[in-house]
Amino acid sequence: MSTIKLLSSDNAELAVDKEVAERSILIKNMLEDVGGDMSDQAIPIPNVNEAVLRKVIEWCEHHKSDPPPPADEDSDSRKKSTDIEEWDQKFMQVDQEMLFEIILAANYLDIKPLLDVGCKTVANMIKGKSPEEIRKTFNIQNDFTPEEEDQIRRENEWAEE
Amino acid sequence: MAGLEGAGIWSLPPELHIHIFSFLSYRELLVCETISPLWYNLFRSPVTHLRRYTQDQIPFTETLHDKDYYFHRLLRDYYILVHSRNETNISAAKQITVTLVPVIAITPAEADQFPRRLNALNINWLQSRELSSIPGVLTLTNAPFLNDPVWVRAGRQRNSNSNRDIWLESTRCSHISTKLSVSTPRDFTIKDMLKKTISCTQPIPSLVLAEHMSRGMREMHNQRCSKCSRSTFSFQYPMRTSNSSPEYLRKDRIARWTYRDNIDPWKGLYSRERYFVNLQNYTDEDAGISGKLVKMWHWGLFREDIMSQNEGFSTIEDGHELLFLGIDTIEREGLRTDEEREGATIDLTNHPVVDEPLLHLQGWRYRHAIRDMDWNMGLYLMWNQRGYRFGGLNDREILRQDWFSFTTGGSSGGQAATNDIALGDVDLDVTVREFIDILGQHILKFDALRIPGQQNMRLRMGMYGRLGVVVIRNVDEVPRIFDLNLYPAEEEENKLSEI
Repeated sequence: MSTIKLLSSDNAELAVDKEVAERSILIKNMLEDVGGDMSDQAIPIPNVNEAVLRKVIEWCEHHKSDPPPPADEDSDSRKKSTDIEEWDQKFMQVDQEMLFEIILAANYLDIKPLLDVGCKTVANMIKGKSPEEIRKTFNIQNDFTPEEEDQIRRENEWAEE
Repeated sequence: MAGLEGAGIWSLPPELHIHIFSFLSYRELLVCETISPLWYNLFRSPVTHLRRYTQDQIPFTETLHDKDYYFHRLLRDYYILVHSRNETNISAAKQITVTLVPVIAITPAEADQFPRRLNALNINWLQSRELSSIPGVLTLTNAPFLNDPVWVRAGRQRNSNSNRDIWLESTRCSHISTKLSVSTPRDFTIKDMLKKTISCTQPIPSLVLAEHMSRGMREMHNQRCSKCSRSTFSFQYPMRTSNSSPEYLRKDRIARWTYRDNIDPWKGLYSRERYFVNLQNYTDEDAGISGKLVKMWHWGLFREDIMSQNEGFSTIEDGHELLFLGIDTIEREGLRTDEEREGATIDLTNHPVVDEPLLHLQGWRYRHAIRDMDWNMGLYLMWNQRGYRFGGLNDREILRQDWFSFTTGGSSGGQAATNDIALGDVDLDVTVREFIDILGQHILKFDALRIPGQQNMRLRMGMYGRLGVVVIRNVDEVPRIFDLNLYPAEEEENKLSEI
C-alpha cells in the first residue's frame, strides 16, 4: 500500500496511507491532478494544524472501508436523524475548540461524512436546550437588547406550545 | 467540554452554521434564533434560504412578500396538512389550526403517494397513520404564514388580475378519475385554501394542487394503473421549469440585495474583507481620508480565504475592494508582506476604492413592510456599550446604546430623495466614501465621549427598523481597531475619585 505525506500548517509531516488520505476529496483530487505520484513531496494542508490533522487521519483510518457517500446524496435521508455511531461519538468527545477545528478541517478537506458527524455533534449539543443553556454551552454572550429579545419573542409567539 | 479560549462556534463560517442548523427541527431553529443576532440574521437572510433550497434540492414555493420567511421555512421542513374531515369546521372557525408534519416523517412508500412537489394538500394521506403517532408534528393556531398567498409571482407576462385555478387531480388512473377545478383569486391565501370546501362524490387516492397553466409549462408524469396496467398521464405541480427560475430565488437578485458576490452571494462582504481601515485620521473638515491598515476581522471564513491567498491558492480574481481593502489593492500600494501591511497607512482621499458602490438595497423588497409596519429603509450603525458583571440577560446593564441611521441619495436629491429612500420608493446605494463618512463621524463622536467604566463596544451595521440586518458582527476588538480609549487609564478614574 502506498504512503503519502501531509504537511500541516505548523510544518509537521505526517505519513498516511494513500487510501486513507483519499477519504478527503480535496487530497484525492490533488493526487489525481498530479498523476498520483506524491511519494517524494509532502502535500501542504495549510489550514489544518498537526493536532487536528492527526484527529482527521484517525477518523479516516477508522472509516477507510466505508462506502463512499452517494453522488446524488439524498439530503432527506441524511437529515432523518442526528444519530451518530458509537465510535464517532467517542471520537467527537473533545473540547469545543478541537471540535470546531475538526469541522473546519473536514470542510476544507472535503470529507463530507466527517463534516456531517461534526455538525451533528454540535446540533445534538443544541437540541432540547433552552436559549440560556445553549448560550452557556457555547459561551455565547447575549447580544440582544431586551427590546430586541421582546420583539423576537413576539415574532415567535405563534409557534410556542 | 473545556472552556472556550478562541472564537468558539463563531470560528465556523456561516455556511457551516447553516449546515449545523440543517440537522435541527423547525422549533429548535426558533430557539436558536433567540440566541444571538448572528444566528437570527442567518435564519432571516434570504441568502440562507437560497442555500437551503438550492443545496438540499428541496422543492420550494414563494411568497409575494419578503418581510416574512416563515412560509418558506415551514415548507422546507414540513408539509402542511389539511384535515379533510374538518373542512366545514375550518370554514366557520375564527381560529385556524393547522398541522405540520415533518418531511422526514414521511416514509418512501408514502412519498410515492404524496406528491413530492406538493407542499400543501393531501387529504387522504393521514388515513393510514394517526397524526399523534408521527414524531415532530407541529400544531399551530393562526400562524402568520396562513395569510401568505398560495400563488407566486409568475412572471411579468401574466395578467396580474387573472384568477388562478386550483386543480385537484387524480394522479392514478381513469378508474378513479376525478378532476376538480376551483377558481381562485390571485391573492388566494393558505388560509383561504384551508377554508375552501371541496366536495367530491368519488374517492380520490391522491390529490395534486396545480396551477392552471399552459400545457407547455406543465410537467407530465407517466403512471401505470395498478388495475388496468394502462399508462395514464397526469399533470403535476408546475412550479419549476428547466429554463426559468422563480423571480424570488434568482441568485443575481438576491446577491444584489446586500451582497456583491454573485457567484457566492453568502460570501458577499465577508469574502472581500481583508484589512480594515483605521479611521482615526478621518477629518470631516477637508474631506480627507487616510487610514491605517489593521488586522482583518477574525471570522473563520475569510481567515481561510486569506490563508489560501497568501499561500498562492487564490481562487478569487479581481475582487472588489471595499472599505476593507483587498489584497490586490494592498499589493498595488507596495505592501507585500504581513509586516508591511500591519500598521501601514494609506491615503484614501483620491483612492478609486472610495467611489466604489458598497451596498445596494432594493426599495421594492421592503415597501410592503415599510407601509405595513411603519418602518424606514436605511442603514444604521449601532454601538452598544454594555457592562457585563456576570454575563447573561439578568445581570446585564446597558450603559449606552447609540443608533445612527442614515439614508442617502448621494450628492444630489436632498431631503426629498432621503424620504423616498426611507419609504422604499427608490433604491439605496451607498458608496464606500459615504460609508466612511458616516462611520468616521461616528467613531470621532465616540472617541470624544471617552466614557469611563467597563464596557463592551459592538458595531452593528444593518437595516434600520429591523427590516433585516445587512451585516452584524461582534467586534470585541473595536476599541483596539479604532484606537479608541474606551478603557481610560485607571489613574484618571482615581483622580476623579480623589476629587
